[in-house]
Amino acid sequence: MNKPVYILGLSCYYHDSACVLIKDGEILFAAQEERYTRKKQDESFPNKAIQAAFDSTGITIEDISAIGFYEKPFIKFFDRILRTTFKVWPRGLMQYQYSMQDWMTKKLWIPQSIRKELNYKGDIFFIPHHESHAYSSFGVSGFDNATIVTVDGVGEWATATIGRGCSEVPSAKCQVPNSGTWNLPLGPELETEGELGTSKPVQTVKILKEIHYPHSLGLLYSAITYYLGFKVNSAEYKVMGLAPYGKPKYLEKMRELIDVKEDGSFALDMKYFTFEHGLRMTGRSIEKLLGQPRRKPESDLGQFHKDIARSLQDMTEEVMIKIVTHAKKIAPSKNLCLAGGVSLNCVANGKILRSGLFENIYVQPASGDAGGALGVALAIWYKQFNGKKLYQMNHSYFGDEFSDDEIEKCLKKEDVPFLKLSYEGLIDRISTLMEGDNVIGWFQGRMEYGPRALGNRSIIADARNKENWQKVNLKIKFRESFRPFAPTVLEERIGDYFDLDRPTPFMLLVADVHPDKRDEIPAVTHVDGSARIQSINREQNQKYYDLIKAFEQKTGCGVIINTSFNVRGEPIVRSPEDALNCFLNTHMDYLVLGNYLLTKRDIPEEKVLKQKDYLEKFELD
Amino acid sequence: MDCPKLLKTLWHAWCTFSNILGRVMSFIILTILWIFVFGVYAVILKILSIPKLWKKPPDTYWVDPLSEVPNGMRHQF
Repeated sequence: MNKPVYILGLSCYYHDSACVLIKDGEILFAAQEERYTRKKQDESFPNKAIQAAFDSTGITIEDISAIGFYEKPFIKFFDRILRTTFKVWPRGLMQYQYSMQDWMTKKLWIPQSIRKELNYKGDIFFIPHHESHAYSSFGVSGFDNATIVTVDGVGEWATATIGRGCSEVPSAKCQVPNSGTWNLPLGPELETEGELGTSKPVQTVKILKEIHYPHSLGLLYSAITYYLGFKVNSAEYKVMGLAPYGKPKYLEKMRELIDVKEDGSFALDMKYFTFEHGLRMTGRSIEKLLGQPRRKPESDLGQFHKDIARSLQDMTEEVMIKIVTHAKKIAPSKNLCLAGGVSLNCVANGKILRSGLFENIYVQPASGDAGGALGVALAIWYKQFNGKKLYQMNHSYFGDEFSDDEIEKCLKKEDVPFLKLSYEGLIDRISTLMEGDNVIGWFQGRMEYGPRALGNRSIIADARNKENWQKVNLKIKFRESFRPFAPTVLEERIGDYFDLDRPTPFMLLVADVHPDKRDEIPAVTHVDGSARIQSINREQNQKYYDLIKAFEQKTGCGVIINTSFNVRGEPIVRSPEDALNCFLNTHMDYLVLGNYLLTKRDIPEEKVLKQKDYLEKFELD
Repeated sequence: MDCPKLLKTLWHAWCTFSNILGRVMSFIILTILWIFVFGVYAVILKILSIPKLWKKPPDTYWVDPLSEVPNGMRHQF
């Protein structure tokens, strides 16, 4: 019997470190390190996530066939960073000081770090950052061929790429219009001619065009996020949520920041940005251009800030539409795979879908840098091991799971009253409790991979009650009041509520709520009538589906509020202890841990609402 | 063998001091490099790039990706 091929993909040392473990092309485990260290967007080596992967699968480092790192550190440092240092000299001394110390002591020693931290002696592979992104989407899209577009802040040099993915036997050549042909790579098992004819198709990605640093749509978005007083590499989604409150009054000013060609390529006017040489994203030039100083973090948001957010969002959508239009021309396919941090911009994704350019769009749930760990693992599987094609990844439940025994042990240790219910009893009870203004922490099964809580580490509430919007924002999540909530809808009822004709299991598409339904589900309808939708079917998550189905049977409404189980600045909860802590320190009414139900009013007073201490543990984003 | 408390305190103090000293030294050495090595090379590069100032803006900002190195997945570059 052949030994199974275990591949470990890693992303770390920038932001959002993560590990992914695959076995013979099947994803066994995937998680971000932040969930273990409780530091949001943690960039450190994902030791704890890797240990959790080993614990969950029962393997050891000896079983690992290959480890992959999601980018090429030498190109990044010796080419991009040093060349940028020369370019901006004599500016940029402090950035140079920080980056040299960081790179010399840590980032250039990645193979050594991996071997030392994991006591690993086998092969380590490195692929370009955007190729990781491309594989992370196409590799699990289930498509035989696709146009691939990746857009993020920056990898080595590339900040945006167009590529093509195809599924071909290795003896074939993949045709790319205007770009000739390329030979599909041969894995170690395919070194002789005789084997080629009998080979299975492999998923192959070819990057055709790139845009290079410093010209970056992701960094433009981050720079304006910084200008609006939010945290870079973390709070970009807030700008997207703020945009519908504004008008695109500053779109022309945005055009001064970025020159966009008809083919979707773009260049930033670097006189307005300081990220090449400074420790900040923007300086006085942009304040002069836009007419106001940078907003101080946590100060009031005015109409000006909303208009800026809207103008930026409109500009981003315009560029994305142009990029995918051009991508379709040079790598035609009816399928589109999106990846990279900018692909988490679900409003832009919705616009691309509605443009009708592609029949099918696939965006992987961990589309940002955490997804690079999946991308490199898949690249190794396909390129080095000539691995079989994976089915479409249609859920993201690849993280830790806790048994009823572990949950009960935790509850007993914390000495809190609880009630154990049967599966049916729990579904019935919670679907009843959800009616009205109760807010419920819902902790079940395996933790989600990626930035979204999709029904296993979620806070849920009745979408029909508009008050729940403010209650969850201000009393539970302690976050800005403008931020919208996403709905989870039964897959078969998407069309009843939303202007969308397909499932969207990862909350990565925005569509309009039907005008006649907006009053029915006001808590998840944003000010512009849109919603960031998650659809669910029973195959993806039986318990969550059954809960919403039971709620629908009682109320007629097949939609609920779903937001991540955390407070502002906190990573999403991982364990029953994290969930209990969050529950005790917020105004949540009920907590469901597996089949255990906790009621806030039954909890002794001395155990609840010490939220000041709790909230201070997390840095605001 | 357990370390005596006094020695442990001294050891911590020495480590803290050496850490600070290391940072100061790194800063000084990197600054010297910045001025005399990076500076000279940066000036040469800036002189060499003067003709680019008159270069016509490109019709597109898309560029071809770096060519793949054979067996490149095994390397950090």
